[in-house]
Amino acid sequence: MSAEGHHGFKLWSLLHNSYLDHHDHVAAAGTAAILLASAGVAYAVTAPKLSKATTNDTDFIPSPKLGLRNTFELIGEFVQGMARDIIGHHYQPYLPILIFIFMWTLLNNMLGMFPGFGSATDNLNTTLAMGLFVYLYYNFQGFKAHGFKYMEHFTGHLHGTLLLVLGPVMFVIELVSHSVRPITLGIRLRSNIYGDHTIYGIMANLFKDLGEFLGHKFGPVGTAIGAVFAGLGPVPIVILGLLVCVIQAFVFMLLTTIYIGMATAHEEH
Amino acid sequence: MKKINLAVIGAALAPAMAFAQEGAAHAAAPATGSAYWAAGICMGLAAAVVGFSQSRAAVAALEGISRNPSATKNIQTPLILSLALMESLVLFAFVVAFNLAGK
Repeated sequence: MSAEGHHGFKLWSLLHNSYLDHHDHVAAAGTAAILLASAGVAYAVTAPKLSKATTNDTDFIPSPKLGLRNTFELIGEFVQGMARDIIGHHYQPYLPILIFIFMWTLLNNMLGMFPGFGSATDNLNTTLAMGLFVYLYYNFQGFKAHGFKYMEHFTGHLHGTLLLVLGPVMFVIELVSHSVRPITLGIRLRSNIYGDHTIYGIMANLFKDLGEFLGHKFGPVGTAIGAVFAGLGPVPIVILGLLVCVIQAFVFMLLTTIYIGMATAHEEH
Repeated sequence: MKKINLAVIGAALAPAMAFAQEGAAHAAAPATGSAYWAAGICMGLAAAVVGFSQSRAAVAALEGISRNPSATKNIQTPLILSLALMESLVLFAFVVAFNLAGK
């Protein structure tokens, strides 16, 4: 099964590249990147060219069927609502990176549920890199929004004598709690996806073995009943797996939004 | 002004690099008998406590939804966030148990 890592069949084993065979997460991240880039190219090719002369009303009305454009609009609207609620009215510059983080995490999580593919996010390398990027990004945005005054976030907004007395302690505590964020982001995502895919693989194998055992014991009738078990048995686990994929992508994006919101908070409004 | 911003950004990067180096020096010790005990107790205790905590969060959320069904959207997001944060703690315990005694 796809969750077994080195035991399952991987699509990139067809390339016979020894680096990719030993580093599944790089190849998985590459396939997710290729899929996202293809979606972007597909949109650029099929999107209507927006100019006053050639635009119809139907270009702005969403189509009733679920297509590529509708899916991205759904996700974009969802992330936009979340960003507006959490960050505030200055959420616009951060929206593209938030939508990308959600799409990237969701796509990588989901890819591991299909046979022949793997999740890049079930490896600590990928998720720690994503956590580090979020850490660098929200600190950079904090400095960009506030300048050097961003360091006041680390001292708890104290002034005067309290700043001299409690300032260093607060600074160390805040710095540690900020620095542990990329680690928790990475470990949370990786543990959830790795555990979920491993359990999916194990349960699927158990049902397959049950089907084989029934076929062995009871002949053709057993094979038929065993096939039903092996086919329908993993369904609740697949549903749970898909739920975990979506929820973990959502939580990663939500925490990123919260960190950006806290770093760029404007109190004067 | 821009040069000062770059300098403080560099200062903010330092803790992340320290943690990255710490993660690299990660040796796997052979599992002795007591390590299996420790792993089992760690995972069981974490699962029990987190199960209790998540049930409390879920109870509060479900009561809120039952009192005011139109507030479901407002309750749903904080509920999912709280559950995921508690889940992450039990996953840290899982990582520890795995490192103690797991293949």
